Amino acid sequence: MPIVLENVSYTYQPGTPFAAAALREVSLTVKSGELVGLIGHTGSGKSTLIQHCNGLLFPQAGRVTVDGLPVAPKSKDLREIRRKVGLVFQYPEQQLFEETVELDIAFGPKSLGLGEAETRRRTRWAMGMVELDEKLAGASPFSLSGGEKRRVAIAGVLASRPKYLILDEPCAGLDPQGREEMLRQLRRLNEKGLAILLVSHSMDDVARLVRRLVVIHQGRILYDDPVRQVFARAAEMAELGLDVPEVMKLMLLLREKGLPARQDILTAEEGQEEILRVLSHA
Amino acid sequence: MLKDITVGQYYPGQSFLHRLDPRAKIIGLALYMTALFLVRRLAGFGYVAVFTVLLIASSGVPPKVALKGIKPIWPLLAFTLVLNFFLTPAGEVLWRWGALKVTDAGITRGIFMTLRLVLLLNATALLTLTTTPIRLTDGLERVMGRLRVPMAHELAMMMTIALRFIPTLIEETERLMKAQTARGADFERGGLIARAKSLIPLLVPLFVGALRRADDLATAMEARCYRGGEGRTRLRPLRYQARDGAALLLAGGLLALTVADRYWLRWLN
Repeated sequence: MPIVLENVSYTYQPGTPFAAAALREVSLTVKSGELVGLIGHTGSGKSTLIQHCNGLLFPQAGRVTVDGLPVAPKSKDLREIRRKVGLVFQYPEQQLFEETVELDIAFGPKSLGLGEAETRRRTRWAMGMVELDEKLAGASPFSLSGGEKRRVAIAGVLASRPKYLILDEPCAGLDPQGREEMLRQLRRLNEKGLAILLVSHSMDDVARLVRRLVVIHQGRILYDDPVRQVFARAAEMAELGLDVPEVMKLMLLLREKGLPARQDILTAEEGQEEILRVLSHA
Repeated sequence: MLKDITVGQYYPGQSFLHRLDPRAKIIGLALYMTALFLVRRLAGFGYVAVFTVLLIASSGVPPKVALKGIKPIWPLLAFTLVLNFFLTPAGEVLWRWGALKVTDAGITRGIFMTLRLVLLLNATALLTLTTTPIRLTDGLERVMGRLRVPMAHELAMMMTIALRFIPTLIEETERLMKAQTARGADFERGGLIARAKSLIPLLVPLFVGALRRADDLATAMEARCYRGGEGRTRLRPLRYQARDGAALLLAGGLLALTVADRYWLRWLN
């Protein structure tokens, strides 16, 4: 069963001079186990869209369902929906509040009313999923490094055992090594059956992780295609002010120089092979 | 709920009130408040109210916006009204139930106090609605300096910063509420204690964030050689204009009227 958005529209402060349309008739489906990227500018409607997926915002027009449960205000399924759809906001480490890492991660399961043993089991499991050292369980979350704090925050969402995980810019502000680790862990989570919707404006991150890419622009979905197909429209993307991965730009340059480089290269490794191939033919 | 907070909100405009020197507005407000507390008869509120309505009308601020400031203090107003109803000992007893009694003096007093609060709130809201925070604190600093208040500049700077960060903190609170709701927090369920407890996941990160921000701001200010008020010059120094004199005369007139009403007109009646 999937998350389904049908013709969803949302306007902030409707009926006032400050009215701003954030979503215009957006339709999107995220199936269980899928790994989807969502890219768009600041203000394109990304954040509004993801908040519709777990009932933090409700559609003003259109319909949202999670595994068949309608997302609507005062729905008695709202708690279940929020459990199923884990949402990790940008800079999630800013929401940590407990005295110890373990207590903070346990906040979700406790709110679900789970017993102590089950809460503990889930906390340990979630820590393992984000590769946090068990020794840190008793530490204050405020004493950790930035990357560790973020992993604690993500573990705090995972502890509710969601079926879908939505992450808003999970790599923002991390150093290259931290990004690499984050992407690796997300891939691993996906391999364990968790559906992931990755919101980002870093094309390189998206290119490395996802197979399906959704491009949102001014509240509308422009593309919803396999990632290579989207990035093959490099010129159109540039027109929207959206970038393509660095390697792709390099391939474009090679092509301009008259070398027959392929245009659907996404990662540095593929790029290396392609350059060698092109040069050996030249 | 959080969007009702209008403290320190500025409503852009070009009206007479908007263009007044902030010092004139602050002194004018002080005169207005004195007048408000000198009023002793219900009719006396009549002309203060008319004056306030005229002010709001001339400011170009939509009445809806100007009156919004009252919304969050409804409970306080109701509290004032009820407390004065029951706890004024003087006057003729109109109604009694056990130890509770309502007197005619109590009713008048309750209405007086509530009216006073409403008018006071509207006038002060109008001050912040028509004055940019920078000009407001600039004016406050000068007025306090004149009154030889120690640390006038520091106090004014603290106010500027506090006003500047109110919207930021509101935004942050909303963001945190969403983030914790997504983790299963519920801010609306349960009794009083459960609700108070549910605020912990909100307040702790909010304070952590505020302290971090304060630290960053202090560094940024120091990096730009901020050293307090001594020898500080301004990009736009305040200068009194003719209209400021007129405004002060108007406010002075209102005060004179209430004083006259209180001390002399009584004997005429």
